Amino acid sequence: MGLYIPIGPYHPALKEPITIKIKVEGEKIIDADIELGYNHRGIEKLLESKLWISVPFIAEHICGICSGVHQLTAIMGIERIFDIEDKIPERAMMLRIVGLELERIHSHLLWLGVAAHEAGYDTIFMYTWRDREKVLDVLEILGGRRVVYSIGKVGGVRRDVDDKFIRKAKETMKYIKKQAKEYIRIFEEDPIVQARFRNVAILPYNVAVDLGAVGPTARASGVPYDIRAEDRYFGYSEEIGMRVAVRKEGDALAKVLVRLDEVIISADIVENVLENLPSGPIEIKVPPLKAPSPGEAYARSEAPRGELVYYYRSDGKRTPYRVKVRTPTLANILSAGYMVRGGYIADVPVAFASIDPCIACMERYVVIDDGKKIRKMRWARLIHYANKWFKQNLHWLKEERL
Amino acid sequence: MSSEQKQVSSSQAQSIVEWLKEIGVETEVKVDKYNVAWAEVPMEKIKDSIRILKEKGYRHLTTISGVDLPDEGVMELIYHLAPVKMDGYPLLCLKTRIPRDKPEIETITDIFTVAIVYEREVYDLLGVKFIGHKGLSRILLPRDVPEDYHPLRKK
Repeated sequence: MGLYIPIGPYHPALKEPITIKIKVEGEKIIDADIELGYNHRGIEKLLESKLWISVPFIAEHICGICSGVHQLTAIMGIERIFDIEDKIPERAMMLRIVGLELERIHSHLLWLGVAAHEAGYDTIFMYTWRDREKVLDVLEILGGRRVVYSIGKVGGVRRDVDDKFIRKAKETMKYIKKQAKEYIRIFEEDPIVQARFRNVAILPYNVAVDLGAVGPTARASGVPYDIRAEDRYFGYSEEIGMRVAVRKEGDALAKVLVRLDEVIISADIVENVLENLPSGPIEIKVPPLKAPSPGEAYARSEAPRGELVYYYRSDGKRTPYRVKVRTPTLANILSAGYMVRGGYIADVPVAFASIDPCIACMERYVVIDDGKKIRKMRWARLIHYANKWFKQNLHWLKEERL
Repeated sequence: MSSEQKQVSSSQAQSIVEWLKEIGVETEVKVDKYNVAWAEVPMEKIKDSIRILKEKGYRHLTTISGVDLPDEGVMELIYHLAPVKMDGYPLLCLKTRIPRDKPEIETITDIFTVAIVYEREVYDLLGVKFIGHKGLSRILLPRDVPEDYHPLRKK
C-alpha cells in the first residue's frame, strides 16, 4: 500500500517545470519517479538553422543562470570544427576563465540562498543574494549585462578589460572569500542548520558512480571528477589555482560545503588570472559566413551544476547539421530520485534542491489519497509544513541526525 | 598539442583497438588534436564493446547522441565515453550505424544505469527503439505528442 504524491509540474520562478511522483508510507518516502517533458523548447532543432557564428548567442539562452558556460562550451565546439582553437589569443582564453569562474560563484551563491530558503533560513538567503549581486556587478562590466552576458564569441571574447575592472574584481573576490568562509562556519556550527542538512539525502560513493552523477553532486560524495582538471580546456591548470573540492559524506550538508569550497577556489582563480593577465589581442577574425569542412566535434566543460556536453556535426554548409546538448541536470536526475527515497516528506525541499536542479521549484503540491481524496498544497505551503514539522520533531531528530 | 603528447595518445588508441579485437571487432581509432578518439563498431557488437571498455576504465558514460542521415538510409548513434583515473587516455566517441527503416538496437542500461535517461532522450527525439530498456517512453516532449513523431528526424 502507500500513498502516491505528485509534486509539480509548474512554477514560474525557475526555468523548467518537473513532476516528482513520490510514494509514501506515513512520513517516509519509499519510492520516487521523476517526469520531465513540460518545457521542450526545441533549441537543438533551432540551432540547425543558424549560422555557425550565431549558434553561441542562441545557446546561451538555454540556461539563465549558467549562460556563460553554455555559450563558451558551444564556442569551444565550433572552434574545434573550424580548427582554430590553437590560434585563439591567450588573453581571450584567460578572460573566458574569469567569466566562467565569476559565473560559478554567482550560481553557487544563488543556489545556497535557495537551499537555505527551502530550509526556512531566510537570513542566509538574504546575505548570499546580496553577495551575489556584487559578483553580478563585476560580470556586468565584463560582458555588459547582469545575466546572459555574452562574454565570448567565435574567435575570442567580445570586450576587453581595463585596470579599473581588475581592481574592482579583486576587491570583490576578497570580500566573497571572507563571506564564503563565514558561511562555511555557519553551516558547520549552527545546530538548526545541521538538523535540516546533516544525514539528509545521502548519495553514497558507489551509487554516485553507478548513476553517473556529475558536478558538485558527485564531488560531495567523494568522486573527484571535475572536467576542469580532467580536460584542462581554456588553460585551466594548477598554476592559476585550480583545485578539486571534494567532500566524502554525500549528504545535503556536504553538497553545501563542497559548493562553498568551490566558491573560494573560483575566487582564487579569478584573482590569480587577473594578477597575471597576458597582454595582446582578444580575438581573431572569423568570417561570418564561414563554412567548415564536413566533420564533427565534441566539447565538454564543467558548468556550475556539472559536466556540460556539446556535440556538433557539420556537412560542409554554413549551418550545423546537428547540434546535441547534454545539460548536467539530466545526468543528475537519477541521483535526485535516489536521494529523495528513504527520507521524510519534510526533507523533499532540501533533498531535491541539493542537486541544484535547473528544472525544479514547484508551484503546486498535490496529495492524492488512493485516488479518491485530492489535497492541493502550494510549494510555499510545503516549506511552511516542513518548517513546522521540524520544530515539533526536533527533539528526537537531533538524536537521529547529530 | 605537442608531438610528444600526440605519440602518447596514439599508443593509447592502439590499446583501445586491441581491447576491441578481444571481442572480435576490427576497427580503427582516430585521435584528433583535441584528445578525442573516434571509432566505429557494428551495431551487433556495441554492447560487448561498451562492456569491455567499461571494464578497462572508460567508466563514465557522458551521453548518447543520435544523428539522422536519410541520404545514406541510416541513423548514427554516438556513445560518448570518458576515462576515469586513466592517465592520458582520450575521450572516446564510439559510433554505430543502424538502418533507418528499422531503428532498433540493444539497450546498454544493464552496463550503465545512467543510460536510462539518455536512451529515453534518443527514443524521444529520433525514435530509436532500445530493445530491453524497461520503461522506454518520452522524456523531453509532452506525453500527448503523436507516437510516430520524432522532431529531430530529417525527413
